[in-house]
Amino acid sequence: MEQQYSNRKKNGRKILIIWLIFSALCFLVPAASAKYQSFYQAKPLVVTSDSFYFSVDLTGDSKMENGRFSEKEEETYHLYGGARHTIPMRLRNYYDSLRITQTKIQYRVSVEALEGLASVKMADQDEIFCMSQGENERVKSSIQGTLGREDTESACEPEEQELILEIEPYANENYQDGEEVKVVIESTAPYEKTIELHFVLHREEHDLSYEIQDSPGNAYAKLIMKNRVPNEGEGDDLARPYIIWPEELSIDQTNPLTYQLDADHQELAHQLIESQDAIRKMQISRALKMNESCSVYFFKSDVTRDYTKELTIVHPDSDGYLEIFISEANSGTELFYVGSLQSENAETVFPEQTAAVFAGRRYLGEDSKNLVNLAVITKESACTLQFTTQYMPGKYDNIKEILQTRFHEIYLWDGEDIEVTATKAEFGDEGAVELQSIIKGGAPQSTEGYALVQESAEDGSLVYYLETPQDEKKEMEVESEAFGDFTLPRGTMITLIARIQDYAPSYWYYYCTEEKGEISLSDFRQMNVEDEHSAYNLRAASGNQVDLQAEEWIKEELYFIIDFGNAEGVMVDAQAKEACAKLGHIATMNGVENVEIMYPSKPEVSDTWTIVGADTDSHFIDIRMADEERVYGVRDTYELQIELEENWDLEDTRCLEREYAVKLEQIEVDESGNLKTDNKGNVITRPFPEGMTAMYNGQEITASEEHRVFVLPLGEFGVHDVTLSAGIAAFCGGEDGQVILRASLYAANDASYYNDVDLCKSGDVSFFVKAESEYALGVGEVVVSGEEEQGHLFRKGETFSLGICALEDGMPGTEDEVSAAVYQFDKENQSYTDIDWQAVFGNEDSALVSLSDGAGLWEGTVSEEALSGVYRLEFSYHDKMEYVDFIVD
Amino acid sequence: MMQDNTKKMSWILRILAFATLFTALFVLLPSDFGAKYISSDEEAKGARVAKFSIDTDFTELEQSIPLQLAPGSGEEILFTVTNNSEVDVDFFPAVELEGNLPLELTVTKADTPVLEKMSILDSPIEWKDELKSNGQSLTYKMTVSWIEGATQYEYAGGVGAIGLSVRAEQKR
Repeated sequence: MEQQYSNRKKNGRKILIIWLIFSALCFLVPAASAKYQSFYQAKPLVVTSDSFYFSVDLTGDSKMENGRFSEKEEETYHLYGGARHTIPMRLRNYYDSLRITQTKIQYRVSVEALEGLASVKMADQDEIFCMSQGENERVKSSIQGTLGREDTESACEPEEQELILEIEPYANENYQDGEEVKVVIESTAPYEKTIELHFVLHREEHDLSYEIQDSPGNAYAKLIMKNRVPNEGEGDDLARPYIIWPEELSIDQTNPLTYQLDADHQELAHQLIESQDAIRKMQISRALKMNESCSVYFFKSDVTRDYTKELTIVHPDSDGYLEIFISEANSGTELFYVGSLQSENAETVFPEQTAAVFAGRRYLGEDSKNLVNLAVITKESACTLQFTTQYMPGKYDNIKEILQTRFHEIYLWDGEDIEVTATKAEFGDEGAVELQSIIKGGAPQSTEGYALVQESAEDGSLVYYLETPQDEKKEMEVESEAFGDFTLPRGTMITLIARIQDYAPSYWYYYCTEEKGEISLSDFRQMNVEDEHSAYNLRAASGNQVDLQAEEWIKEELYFIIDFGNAEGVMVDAQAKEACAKLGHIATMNGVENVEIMYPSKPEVSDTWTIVGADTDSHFIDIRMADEERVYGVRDTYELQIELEENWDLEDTRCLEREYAVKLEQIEVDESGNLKTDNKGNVITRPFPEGMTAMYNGQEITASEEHRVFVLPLGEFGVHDVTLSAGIAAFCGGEDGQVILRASLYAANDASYYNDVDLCKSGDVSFFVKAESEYALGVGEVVVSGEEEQGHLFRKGETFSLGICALEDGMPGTEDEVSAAVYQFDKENQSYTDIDWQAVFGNEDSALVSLSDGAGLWEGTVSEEALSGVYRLEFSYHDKMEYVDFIVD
Repeated sequence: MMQDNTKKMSWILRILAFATLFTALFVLLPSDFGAKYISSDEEAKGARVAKFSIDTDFTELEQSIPLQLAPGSGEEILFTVTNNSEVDVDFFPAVELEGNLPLELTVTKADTPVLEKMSILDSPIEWKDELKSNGQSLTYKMTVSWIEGATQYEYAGGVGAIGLSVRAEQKR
């Protein structure tokens, strides 16, 4: 026990000693190292930078990719041909009406090209600020400007500066195919942004091409020319080729390329035809436009000859002239016609007037068809009449042969479902009429099986019935009837082709210097003959072969081609169409006997195929949008492609044309997507907006003033790019909806007669253009919820908000939502990564913002689990995107 | 007697245990946080301990409206540290830059060349300075500017933040 006590005592002492040492250290060590310390932290300062918007209308829209705007900063255009290209460029300090750069932007525009090839100027100034320079080398020069106001007291307005880029390929002799003009548009302050526009120039391989279409038996050969060089003005000889042909051919002197009219259209002065050694030479009367295709007929004295010539490329000779040599195939000769591609052909219309010929002659073929081509007389149409007569010159001395025009029209109406009936009429003894076509709902339909029957009533009057293919008889009321002389208007040009017996045909013309109801054949002048013996008579027409005293039957075939291209007071197509529509239910019959139709063969007009619907079999024309989904907002252009595909099976040689034009027009569509029609069943077309232009093949084409349609000279087969200068909204007049952009195919070379549309099948070329609204999106200041304070720095769990403004065509967007996405900034890589919404914001609902009267409030709470760092909050409203950045502390 | 000694020893041990626990509390706590010596002022209102008083002036930094910057622009921000203690102090200002803007920050004090220079990628930085007792102060000029040449438009609309803290301790 004592021992136990002694041990405890020893242990207690040990503990006491250890404790004393430990305690001493505890007090001594802190006392030795103690010092004052403090820590101070300031509230962080947030730094922001204004948004920056700088764009040019020649690049596509911007879009957001992985949290960053993906600006389209480069665009390439291809320009064709040597004509001057004038390209407007609009620089903008905004993306849309809600996103405008709030500071002055300094910019620089430079152009890099061969010397003199390209220049840039302000649209509102004549002075050229920037011209490519240098000695046959690519050099760069630039101009500078500003956008927006210096004053920052008030908000900047959307502002744009229009610059004009002009490219003149032929301004530099070193210009090569594939030459490039580079335009660099740079903002230099406050931010740098570079936009590059590349214009690749394509030089055509040749300057002028021509070919001759002919075959043995043809009365004429046709020369087709196409100009590829720029027209520097009327006096530009480079675009006024000389044509050289053998004297056995007669150039068609009714062709405007062979003559010039004075201001009053009273005097017609033919181009000088030089004659030497059985060769004739003439320079056409005007310079051809760039890419213009035209043709001239050459009448053959020996129809058995063939002057066909393959496509031939002509380069200027040493004097700078283009010469076309026409010769017989296998030996050397040719012929032609000129048809402008710019003709304003409209719809097929139906006749209201006809021409007739009465002459002191005995007509052959009493029982032959009494037909006439019932064409509306417009500037784009012509009548073609054929007479075959026979008489004895020796017995009918001093006969005056007269071309007389008369008309006889009967307007019929059944009052029910037969809306319009037009006739290629023939009333025989039984009074049957062959109908050419019936229109229902605006679309020409086959008339096979229909007949118009004329019967005498008991009181002696004539009664008309329409017999349908089902042998139904509908009585037609006579609305009105007219009969009388028809005068050819001043400016009418008539070609007469005379063929006497089997002698070579001869060619004559008559120009109406005043209105004419009767024209003596002796007033016709022989083509290519300038002397006093050029007046028409039987002997001259036969090549002096016929003896005028002969008492034998002489066969005289006369072909009249009456051309109203330069006639005064003649309706244009639209007027003719309107006139026909007003007349309503028409049946027209001619009062002409012994008149036969000769197939149209008149220049300056072209065949028309009217596209009638989407259910046709053939597809030789195909039009499609370059990018079906693309809708341009800020951008005011609209691109489409037209493809001409040669895949039809043709028997009619008229369809073998090699040059084509396409007419573009708008068709109105109702809410269901059906074509809108008027009370006659005709589709309603809508003019393109005034001032709207189309760029095709380097040419700027303006919609015709009268019709506001585009006629694009597409030329050959293949794919053709067309750019229309107005935004899609323009198609619908600023309204949402749909229109059809319809294209009609024209053969550009042949005569523009509006008949026999069935012979050439038409293709379905309609497609829809959906007009969409232009949207704008604006995002307001970030505000800490419950406080007035702005900020971009937040702690976890903190809630902040910002205002959203959305416009649709300038009006508050309604019933729409703005969606949001969030990205995290990677400091090392300077990039943004799409991250899960809930990793930053707990509330999934905040990824959508509902709009009310164009405004919405976004509110989000930073998740407690959110990682510290920089984030980008992106908002989307239709095709518009905007973002705000914030930091999670 | 033995019982008395035992009781006495027991009391001694109890007292020692309590004293040990009491001492350990002081020993285990770091001396920096000793309530006895430390004053803290997150709001920069100065120290409240008479013998150790550091004043800071961050007024120019603590603005409620974000600072707007653009290429070519910059802003000078002054902050001051004053030693009102009865002891000399070492102190350690630290600056932090955050965000996606191309910012550059330099710090100088009167009559000296650039003391510190940093970009966001260098953040944060800290340096050491000292102040004598009884009222010596130092004013620093912090210049935040857009990095020269970083004018790409992608920087527009970005955001940044500048953080500043100062740690001070008695100089030995």
